[in-house]
Amino acid sequence: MTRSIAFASLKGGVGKTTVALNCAFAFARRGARTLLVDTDQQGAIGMSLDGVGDRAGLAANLARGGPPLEGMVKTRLAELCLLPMGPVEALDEDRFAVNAREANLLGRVLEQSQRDFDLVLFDTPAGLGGMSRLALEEVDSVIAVAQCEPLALRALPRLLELLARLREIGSACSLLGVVGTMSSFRDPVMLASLEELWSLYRDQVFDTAVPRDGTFLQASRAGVPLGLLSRRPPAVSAVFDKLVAEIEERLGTTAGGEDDGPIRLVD
Amino acid sequence: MTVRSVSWTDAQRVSSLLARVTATRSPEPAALVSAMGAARAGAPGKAAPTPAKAAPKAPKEVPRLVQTSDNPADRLDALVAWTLAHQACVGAFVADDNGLTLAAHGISEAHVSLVGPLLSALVGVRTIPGVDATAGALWLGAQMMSWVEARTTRGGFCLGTVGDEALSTRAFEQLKEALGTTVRGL
Ligand SMILES: Nc1ncnc2c1ncn2[C@@H]1O[C@H](COP(=O)(O)OP(=O)(O)OP(=O)(O)O)[C@@H](O)[C@H]1O
Ligand SMILES: [Mg+2]
Repeated sequence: MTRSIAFASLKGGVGKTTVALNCAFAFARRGARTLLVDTDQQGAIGMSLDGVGDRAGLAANLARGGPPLEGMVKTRLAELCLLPMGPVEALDEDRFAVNAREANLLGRVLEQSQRDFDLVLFDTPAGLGGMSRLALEEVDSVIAVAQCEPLALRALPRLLELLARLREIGSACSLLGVVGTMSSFRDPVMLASLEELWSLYRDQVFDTAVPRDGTFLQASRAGVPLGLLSRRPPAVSAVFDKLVAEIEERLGTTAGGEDDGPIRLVD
Repeated sequence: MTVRSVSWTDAQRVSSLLARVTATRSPEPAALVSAMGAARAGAPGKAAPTPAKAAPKAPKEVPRLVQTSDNPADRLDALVAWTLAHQACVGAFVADDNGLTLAAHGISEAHVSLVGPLLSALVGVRTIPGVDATAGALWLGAQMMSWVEARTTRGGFCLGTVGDEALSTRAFEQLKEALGTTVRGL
């Protein structure tokens, strides 16, 4: 069964796109056939990756009523594909999510992904309406992205509130966990925020928090996931290997199946 | 409170929200890669009318169960298939008043043997005034067994599910209705 995860947050700029992109890369590196779908009209995945920015994707498929996965981009990793948002016609911005709902755009993306992907990750826009709401209704799991700062923490319960309401009216989405981002042990407010995240959300919080690190800006500038910033990946990219291992554990899935002991190097 | 918290969030509110949005996690790992779509072990004995999904999603819109056959076995099989397809469960069964399993898929031998004692325990519970024992649920280790009952002139019937999460009130209503539709014609 293909699993689907939305990375979501009411508050903007908390690191959803950064986490979704680098998790997708880490999942694919572990061997999970992964599709990363950009549901943000901003086109953040396209903006984050050199060579993807001007490609057509979900928006064009919606506008033309074409197949939902048209414009899917293959990557250097055989297991990782991207479905960017692509350019959105300026006058369509306003009704975009309404049209996407009418066309069951994300539902069809998931349907079409069943055969070729183990995992579909959705990067969602900030906010709880529009495309975010659509994605939350379609996925089976939601990862709440919480920046380690006061406003993001204050906004977090509203995402849970929406999830609870969606579940009441029949959606299958459940909270897979909360990931703290841009954490720093040096800044007292950020540290207090992370501590409060732990104390409030307890075992829902992933043990792995994404630290605030200048390398993220370098990766944005180069337009690559952290893991491809240089031949020897920056140390901080290992954070996503750990995070992804935790996510897998919570999904009840392990890449490559159950551990059945040592593997011979030579056959 | 002298120093306000960072989040201005009430811990109790968060706890109750978390309880509403988290699913119980399956303890047994399934392979993310390659083994996608592999169904869980089937029920002992009888073959299932339709294959069970590994973990059926709670559906958006649950269609009403429509029974087209007069044959009791077909009706029960259709009920089990409908339940597996439209409710969040990995197994489903129908049993009679005596705990005898009439149709099942995706539930273990242990669950089958549990149905009898469970139903007889409920007989006692039913006699307590003010207690509605026609639906209920029980955590068994990491899984939840839920059931609804319907009474007919030919005795009582019970439709049960086994899954990783608790069923919603709405799901209970849907199961009751489906069971009612099925046994009405028996
Ligand atoms: N761990 C981090 N350390 C430092 N900077 C980060 C980190 N994570 C993200 N950033 C930077 O923070 C900014 C916002 O990140 P990002 O775009 O991932 O957030 P977002 O939640 O997707 O935003 P939006 O709500 O606009 O979709 C970007 O400039 C990004 O490079
Ligand atoms: Mg973003």
